[in-house]
Amino acid sequence: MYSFDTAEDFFAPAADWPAWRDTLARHRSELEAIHECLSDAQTCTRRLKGLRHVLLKGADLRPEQQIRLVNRYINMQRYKDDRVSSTSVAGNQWATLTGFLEHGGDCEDFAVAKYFVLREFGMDAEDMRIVIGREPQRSAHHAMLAVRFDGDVWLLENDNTIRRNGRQDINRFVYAINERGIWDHESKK
Amino acid sequence: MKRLLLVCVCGGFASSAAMAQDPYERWLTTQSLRGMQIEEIRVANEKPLAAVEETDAEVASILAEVEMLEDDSSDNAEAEDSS
Repeated sequence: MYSFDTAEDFFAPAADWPAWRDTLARHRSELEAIHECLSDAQTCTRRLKGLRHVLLKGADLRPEQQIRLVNRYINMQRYKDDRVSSTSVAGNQWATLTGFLEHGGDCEDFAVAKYFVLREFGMDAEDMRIVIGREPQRSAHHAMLAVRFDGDVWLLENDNTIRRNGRQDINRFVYAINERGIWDHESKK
Repeated sequence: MKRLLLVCVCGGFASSAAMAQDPYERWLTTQSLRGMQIEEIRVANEKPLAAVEETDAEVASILAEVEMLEDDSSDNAEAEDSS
């Protein structure tokens, strides 16, 4: 079961990871366009129209509903495998929310996009982490968004499921990030 | 005495090198020493969407509206492209 109570796993401030720091900075610079789109639909790009609808219509929902909405909304977006370009600069960048909505992304980009949209709903950064884990059934690594909510941890998957109460396909968590820090969950193993 | 000094110096060099390394690079190195292929973590892992309907009516309604909105936008963009 994923836990947020892992102070001993804290590895470094988020700013120490150049690729992630760059993603956060690019997202911050794009926030202005998102907020402008929220106040004036005419300024929205094609893809931002959907986001605008989610943020405006979802604003009055309960937090639990907002989490479900964001999980489903982001999962509707295009899946794009970026392995082919992993050696290029672009391949090593994580997508910002705007970039993801325009071009799609792979599992970590889905998790990052959910993080950014939930931040727009006012969810505290301390209560969310993009988590990378190992999925034994498929012998692969996988990224998802962990949300601490209602005394539990919700794992938002990109197949539309939300795992709760420790029910999960992951048997080993490797590392986690949010805009505050990086946690190395394998440091003691 | 000499041996002890040498160990200290080497230890000093090792920790200086580690300190000079970017924390993420250091983490990658550690993972690599554990036998983990870090590139694997970036490997895409697409999961087919579970065929589970959204049970919350309000959430489902917003999603349906978004879908229509994005379809419309997409149609308009295609029309603009072809004109």
